[in-house]
Formats: sequence, C-alpha cells, structure tokens
Amino acid sequence: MKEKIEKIIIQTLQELNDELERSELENPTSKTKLFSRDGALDSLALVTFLADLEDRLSEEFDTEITLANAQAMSQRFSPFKNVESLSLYIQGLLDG
Amino acid sequence: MERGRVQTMLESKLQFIPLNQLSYEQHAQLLNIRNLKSIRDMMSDAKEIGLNEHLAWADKYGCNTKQCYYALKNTDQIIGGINCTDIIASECSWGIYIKPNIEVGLASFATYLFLKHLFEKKEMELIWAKVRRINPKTLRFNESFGFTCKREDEEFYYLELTKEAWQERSNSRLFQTLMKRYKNTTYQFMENS
Repeated sequence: MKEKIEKIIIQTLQELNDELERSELENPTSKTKLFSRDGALDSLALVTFLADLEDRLSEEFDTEITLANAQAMSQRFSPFKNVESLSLYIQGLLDG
Repeated sequence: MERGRVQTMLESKLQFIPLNQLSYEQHAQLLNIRNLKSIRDMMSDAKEIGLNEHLAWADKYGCNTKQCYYALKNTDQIIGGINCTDIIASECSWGIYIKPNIEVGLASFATYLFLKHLFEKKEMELIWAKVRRINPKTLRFNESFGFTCKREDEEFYYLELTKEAWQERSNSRLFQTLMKRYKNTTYQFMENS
C-alpha cells in the first residue's frame, strides 16, 4: 500500500507543479522535502496540495480522508516534512 | 476528478488589531512571539526585546500615513504580527511573522486578506518585500502570492508585487482552495483609535 500512496503523492505534486513551476518538484521521490525549512512547499502551496491529495486518495481508496486537519497542520513533528513521512502518515490513517 | 469533495473547512475568527488597541496581556503575547528565536533570527536585529522596549516600539509604530502594524488575533490568542511600512504614495513594503505550530494555512489566509486590503482598500499599486537569503521558505511563500524577485545582494532578495499581477493571480487555484478552506472563518480589520 505504501508504494501506491507514494505514487499518488508524487502524481499530485507533479500536477500541482504545473502551477508552482518549482525545480525541486519536477521529479519528486520519496525523499523530496515538502513542508520543512528548505522544503518545496510553502504554506499556501501546502493547503492546495493537501486538498488535491485528499480528493485523489478518497477516490483511490473509496473512503473520505482528511489530511489538512488543524492537529496535523500544527504538529511539532509534522507529517508533511517529506514524501515518505506523509506516506506513512496516510497509511496510518487508512489503517485506522 | 471532482474537486473539493472532502476539503476541510475551518471555523474561526481572525482579527487585525492595530498595536495601540492591544491590551497589556495581548502585548505580552505579541512580545513573546517577537522574541522567539526562530523569528528573531530572521530580523535585522536578533537581540531579545524587553517589555519597555516593546511598548515604546508599539507606541511609535501604530497605523498612520507612513506605516501600519497589526497584531493578528485568532479566536482568543495573538498569533503574530503583520505590517506595511515605508508607505510612499501608492507603494509600500510588507512583512509577517507567525508563531510556530499554528494551523499552517492561517498565515496564508491572513496574508491573502492583508494584501487584498492593501491593494483594494488602501489603493496600493506596488508592494515590496525584502527577504533574507537564509530564509528560503519565506521566499517561496512570497512567490506563491505572486511576488517576483527584482534584485538580490549577499544578504537579501528584493521582491515586488504589482496590483496588476495580484489581480491576474486572484483567480489562481491556490487562492481558490485557500478561500474554500477558510470559507467559515470571519475576519475584521480594526480601525486605529
């Protein structure tokens, strides 16, 4: 399941990058930094990315999933640090 | 793909309060944020600020024809500050600081409202930003709002956003998603007393 989630995250990032045009997001991998000090996403881009990803995951896994909740978005150890940490976070939510 | 099927919407209240309208307790909250290391490190002067120094600063930097400083209050707590300075005719520079571990989209929402306020209510035509090179996150943040880098030196990037560029960007997917997410959040710009 982890590989499937990562693939969805990467596709969503690439789609968003049509608008953002950031070089770090041209070929994202599991190690791509997202929302960290030198990550590719700022808070405005993160909000859009998570909304897109919520939609895509809900379609793929046929269940509603909320990533952009206040708790996750203000956690000291953010799940949005990189693709891998986000993937693990999503897997945890889906495993419920 | 159907958009916006799941997207979370947050309910809260965001207030922009001129410094001269803050209570003593709110000043203390704002000072704590100004003194956070992560924020001090990005300022031109990184030394810790004392309470008297902060209150003198707040007295000096209210809202007038040259500048406007607001504290940002979300529901019941001060979460940061936002300002426009160096107002000359229809140009100004802007800045924001938000305490860490706050709901991450709030900084974007406050910024969107503030820039909109500057262009539409204050009739600005051009807004500048000066971003330290050691702060790439803030550079990206400004770029997402449409700022472009006009020049750079060893320490800073110098960015600008024209009213025209802002208007062109106002229908961007980034802004639309932000507005949808904060559809249930009310906001208020309080007037200078």
